[in-house]
Amino acid sequence: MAPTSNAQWPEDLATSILLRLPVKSIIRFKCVSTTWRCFFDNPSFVSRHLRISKKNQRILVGYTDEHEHDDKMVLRMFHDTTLATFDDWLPQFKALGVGKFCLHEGLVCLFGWINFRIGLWNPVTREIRFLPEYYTDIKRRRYSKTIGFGSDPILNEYKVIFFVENLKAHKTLLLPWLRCAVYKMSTDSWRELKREELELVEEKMYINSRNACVNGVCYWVVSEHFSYKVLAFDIRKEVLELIEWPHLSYRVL
Amino acid sequence: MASTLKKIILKSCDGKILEVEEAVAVQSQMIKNMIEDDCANEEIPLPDITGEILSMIIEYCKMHVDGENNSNNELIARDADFITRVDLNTLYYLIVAANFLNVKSLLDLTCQRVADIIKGKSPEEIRLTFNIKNDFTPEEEEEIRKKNAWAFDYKD
Repeated sequence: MAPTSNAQWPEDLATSILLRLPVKSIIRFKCVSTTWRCFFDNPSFVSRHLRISKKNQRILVGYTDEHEHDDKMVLRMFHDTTLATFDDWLPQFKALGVGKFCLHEGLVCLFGWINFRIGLWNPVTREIRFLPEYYTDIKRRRYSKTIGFGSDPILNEYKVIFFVENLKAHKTLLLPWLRCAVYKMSTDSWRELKREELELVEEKMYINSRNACVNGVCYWVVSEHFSYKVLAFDIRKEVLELIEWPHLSYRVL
Repeated sequence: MASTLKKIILKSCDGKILEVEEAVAVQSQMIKNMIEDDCANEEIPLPDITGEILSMIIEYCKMHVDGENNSNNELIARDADFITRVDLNTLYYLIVAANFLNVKSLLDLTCQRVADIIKGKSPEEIRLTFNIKNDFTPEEEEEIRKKNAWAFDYKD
């Protein structure tokens, strides 16, 4: 095949074949030769493979444990495996206790409630990257931590958004009630949003942990008592926006 | 009366001449373009395709034209029946020919078939199949295997 010195297969045709391999085979075939390894590690191969394999959907089930008040999930990655909890897939995280997670393009952003670290996990290749710690004073219960994860489809840049809300802000005047930092995957670094960038979020608005990223914008439902709004974050511009809740005759949440 | 069906004449590299109905021949985007450009009135020489491979491709195209009104599942079953009869060596020539003639669905089918054949193989078997020299040092190879041990546990 093409990625060999003995190039018998035309390269574009070999690529069409290798793009159709399951991830498990690709990882195993990385040790065929150095050329094959480079070929499989190429970002353009990786993103083309993602586009093709999106057609093969995986099952992922999330549930909340009434007693522990934490989101849990179980998943099945391959057709030949049974449903497994993600602790089994990712032994490192058993020690972390995954409190919150969000999904985007097959990647999982996890927040551990034992050591308060954020990790980006690719369940298919089983690789995990821990983000550098940013807020180090958040271990107290009065802080509500919310993460968001998404990508800018134009620049193919992945970012994690990390909100820290102080639910008892009036007791500590030193820190603002809401802090937010954005992690950029390409530079492996954080940028904290300035106070004025966060001004539009009214005080005591609770940011719901469930979020979705569509076309380069992350969305969260925010609430105050029974009034809701949608908080949007443009991944490329790193700008927040509040969207009014539609007028509905019934309760949604 | 419908006029007699137009035939396209294809000539393989080993001199085999095949007459194909236009509806079947236009499954190949390349031939379709030639017909549209009015270049398909004489026999079309196919320098890299043998008569055996060409017959297989025509069989495939005919199957798709005849099966136009069949259900999707029926077509998938026929595709599977067609492709599982082909060995890896023949698949190579089919892929190159399907690519040259630009028969997209056949190219997808053949590439997927090769992927299905090789996906369960070991790295050693892959090297043998495609005549690839292992240029890792034993230590380097061991490191990749150790790091991704789960991928080497395969029964699928």
